[in-house]
Amino acid sequence: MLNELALSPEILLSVEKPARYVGNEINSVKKLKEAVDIRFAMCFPDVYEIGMSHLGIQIIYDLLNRRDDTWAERSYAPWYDLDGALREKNIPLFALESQEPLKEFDFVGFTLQYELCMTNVLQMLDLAQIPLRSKGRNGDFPLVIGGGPCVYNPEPFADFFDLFYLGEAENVLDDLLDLYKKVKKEGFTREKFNKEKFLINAAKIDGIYVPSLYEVKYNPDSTLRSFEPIDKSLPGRIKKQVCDMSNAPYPLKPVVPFLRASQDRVVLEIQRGCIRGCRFCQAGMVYRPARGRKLEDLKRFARELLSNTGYDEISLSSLSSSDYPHLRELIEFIIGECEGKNINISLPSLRIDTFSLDVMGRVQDVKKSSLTFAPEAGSQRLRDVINKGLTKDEILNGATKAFEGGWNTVKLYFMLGLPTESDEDVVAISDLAEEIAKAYYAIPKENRIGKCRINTSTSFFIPKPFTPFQWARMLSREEYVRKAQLVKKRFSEQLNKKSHHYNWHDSDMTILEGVISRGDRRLSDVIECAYRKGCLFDAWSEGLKIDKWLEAFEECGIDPDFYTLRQRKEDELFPWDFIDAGVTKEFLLREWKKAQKGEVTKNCKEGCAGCGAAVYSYGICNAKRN
Amino acid sequence: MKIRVKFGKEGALIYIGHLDLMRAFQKLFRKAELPVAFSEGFNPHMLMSFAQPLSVGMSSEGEYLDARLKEDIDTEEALKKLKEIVPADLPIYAVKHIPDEKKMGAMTVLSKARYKVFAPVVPNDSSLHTIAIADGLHMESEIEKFLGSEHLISPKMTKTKVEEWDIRPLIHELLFNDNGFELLLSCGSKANLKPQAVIEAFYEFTGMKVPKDLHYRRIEMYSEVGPL
Repeated sequence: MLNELALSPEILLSVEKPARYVGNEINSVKKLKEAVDIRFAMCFPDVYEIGMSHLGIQIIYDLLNRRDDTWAERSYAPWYDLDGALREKNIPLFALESQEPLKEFDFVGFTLQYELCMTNVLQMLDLAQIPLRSKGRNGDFPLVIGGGPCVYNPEPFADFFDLFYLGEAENVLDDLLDLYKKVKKEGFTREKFNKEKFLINAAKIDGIYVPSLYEVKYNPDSTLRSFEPIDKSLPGRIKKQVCDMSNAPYPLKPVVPFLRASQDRVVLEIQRGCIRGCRFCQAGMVYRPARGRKLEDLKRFARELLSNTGYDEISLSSLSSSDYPHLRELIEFIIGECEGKNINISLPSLRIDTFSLDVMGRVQDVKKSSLTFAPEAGSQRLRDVINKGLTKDEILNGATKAFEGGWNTVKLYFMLGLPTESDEDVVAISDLAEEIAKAYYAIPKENRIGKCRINTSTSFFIPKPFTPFQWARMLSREEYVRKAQLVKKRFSEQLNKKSHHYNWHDSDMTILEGVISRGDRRLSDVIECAYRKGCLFDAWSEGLKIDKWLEAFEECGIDPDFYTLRQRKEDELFPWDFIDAGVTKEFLLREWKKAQKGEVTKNCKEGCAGCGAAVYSYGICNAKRN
Repeated sequence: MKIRVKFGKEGALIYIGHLDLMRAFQKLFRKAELPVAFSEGFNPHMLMSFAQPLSVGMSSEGEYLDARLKEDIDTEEALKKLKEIVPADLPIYAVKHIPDEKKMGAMTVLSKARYKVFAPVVPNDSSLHTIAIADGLHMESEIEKFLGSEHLISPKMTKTKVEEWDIRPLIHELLFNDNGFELLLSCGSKANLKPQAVIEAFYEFTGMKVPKDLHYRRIEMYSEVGPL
């Protein structure tokens, strides 16, 4: 059987996991390239197993391939071994389905899920033999487009992309492709494709941002002075796209990898957005308004997805599943559907209460699974600052019920370095974990299974754009490490110290992510410089080379502390202010001030806080409230 | 109740490892709604076993797996359903009932396997378009001399060290035709010889280098009485 692969057997047998590069997965889409007008490569700038776990790519892949005139394919970042082989043998990076070079495509799209994937974007462009910078690419090269959560501040990546798509792909991706087709036809061949004309017209589509058409000026103190389009006909603000989830399509035949992906199961997205309003959470702000899918659709999706994939597990996906109004009915349906078929149901992001414990006890093996709580802050005062509507009583009650139900492992997630945090708040993390351990040992001995295990993890807080904490100062590496040591010491003093296990996130990675999160255009140089020095897979703790990054900052004359250690003035113009993300700056500022006073804000179900997302009039914004 | 499925592995799928192939079959059996039985215990898994794993990079038209069923099925119907859902590079050739006893399982009865070794015209093409690899060698007489040896000592990698063993008793046939080798070798749990070891030993014996880009393909697997 003839099947031309981009890589020779010699190369494929010399790399780890060759299955990453050969495509042909179940449900992958093959079309005749002669029969389509647009070839779109969806790229995920991390290894295959991570990228294949990402729902967004499956959604876009499905959306694009629904069009007869478009063939969407996928590409992932080659691991170090193949990276070396491609460079050595001068083989251009290719897409999995056709095995043809990315440089022959019309669009090369990247989903930017985390800031530290940027060197891998450059790696993929470089290996694809596509110039890294937008201005180095004429109409002969594919258009490079970015989307995903990181484009809520696209500025650090501005020089590398021709366009960014702000918001949910369901909305205007079609408009963009129609425009492309029109302009491409006018030029007859891609060589004569008028890139400039296309970009100017694309920039007028809602939600499309063309960075080269905007000009940035800076103040002497390095903050932003102005951000203007170069032409008055262009929009001054770009509006985030939000879709109507009640009739949004869903990929019912997702690509099923042969390799075990990190998300090796059916993923059923039940809702988008979150009503909670935690002040540190970017997803909770930028995906507003909270919108659920229809229960009847979800039931049908669940059944079809299981039969189209053959997976033995289904997971409900959302930012806060407990807030989905028909959760109970949906779960009962899925339990019934999976009965006797050895299919597992996994329910992440559930609040721990009587209902969820009952459900989890029925669908999971209690002895093996652990329960997760994310109090995020140790003290009630600090939980009020971050508007995490979770009280100590709720946590202890939930944990006690879980212990009575047979669980004996609990995971706790916290952040260190939150605004207004004192050393008392820091040690309260360990004290809260200790109270949970005490709740376990308060259960009569005959009703518990050995010792309990409380796994506490802390990450370091990173202020993100479009959150009330976008004005906040980050801490220095030394301060972070000191706080983590403080927690560690406190754990060693607890009565039940043997039941506790504490670990904390890498502080170098945190600081780098912090710089890029709130960075501006000047960081494009730093990112390219770091990439040229060999930085790659920065989100992998074994990949990050912080000294190379520091050299890159130094060489580009950029002080990373400017982005991290500075509390912003209330009237500072931010690099991302040109984006209309639904939530207004006034609302965010109001929340920032309330945070400093430790005042909480009601969630969207209890009352509208006037965040601004109501202009989309979807979901919770239309709901009648108590 | 048990069934045996005969299948092949071609094209891109020759790069899928054994464990991943097993997971793919679990999914395909679910999709085909075959009533495969599960093990008991905390981590129930489908009761299925392969006759012999195939090395990554090798193609095959003679692979077998056994699966235990909860209830009987029409094998023709099952074959039809599977054919509908498998990728082109994972062809399903046959589904048949087999006896329940463990001693009749594919893994247990397997004793020999037939292979072809050739140099494909197009890389990754597992069909039998070959380029000549016999230049300068009188294959027939070389093979005769090679097989005439009483012992053929070959290196064997174990987990900790390289050992030497005599592979001659495990070579049942070695022919050269159509620009390629055809081998019948011991295969299975009692004695297992990989075709790569034979080809390497042969070229070493002739004093020539092993040709580049050889492709190894399994053709069939046998018990003492015939194909599995």
